[in-house]
Amino acid sequence: MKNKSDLFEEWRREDEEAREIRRREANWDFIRRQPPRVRMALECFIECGDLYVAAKVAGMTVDEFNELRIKANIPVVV
Amino acid sequence: MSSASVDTCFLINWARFSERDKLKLVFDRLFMPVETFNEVKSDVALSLASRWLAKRYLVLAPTLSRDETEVTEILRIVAERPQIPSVDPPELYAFVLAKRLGIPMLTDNKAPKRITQLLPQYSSVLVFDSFDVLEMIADRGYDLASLVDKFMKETRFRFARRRLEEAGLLG
Repeated sequence: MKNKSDLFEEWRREDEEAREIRRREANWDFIRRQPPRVRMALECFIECGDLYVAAKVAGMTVDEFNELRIKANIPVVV
Repeated sequence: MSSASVDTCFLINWARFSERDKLKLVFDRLFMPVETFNEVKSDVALSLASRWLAKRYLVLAPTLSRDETEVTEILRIVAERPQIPSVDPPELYAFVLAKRLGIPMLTDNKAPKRITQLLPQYSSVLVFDSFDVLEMIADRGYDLASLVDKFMKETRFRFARRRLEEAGLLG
């Protein structure tokens, strides 16, 4: 196993790269046109990349939120 | 070939992928905890799930009381470590099922993989995401670049630069 500080640094870099990709590719016009709760959930997904958390913010199931993030052109980054 | 445990995100992502049946080249059966299946709602994902359930390719697995205890324990551990992304119980049931059955877990969420990297008691659980699975399919005679390109377009996915480089897909 890697030591924890190396692992955390690797994860931090991965998360930042993923966040940048989501920010860059998102359809911000679409996002700004959404009702406040949905908009906040999409912005939350862009920042954290967590479908479960964002779906909760939107008041949707993960499956429903996934359809929404596709409409908003926000990629899942793996 | 082995079985695998799947979570909701993996199923809904692969439901949109036109080459989804190539998953059968790698895994002969998929298990999903009932609690996890309850999260599947869209027509696209339900349509795939119902076809796979009918053919017994997808099997719903009951949750045992010891799974509940382990899920609660993992939630406690994750809550103490902000470096691990948050996890929801439905996803953790699939993780715990994988551990109990000694089979891999398929998920596109980062948390399960990170749990196995950080916590020695879970290091034996194999966690594969879509990129890992596409590589396994490619190993059976398919072109990885085409698979990855199609998957990204059809599911609105992006794969991290490091992974594309490691797979020789970036110059």
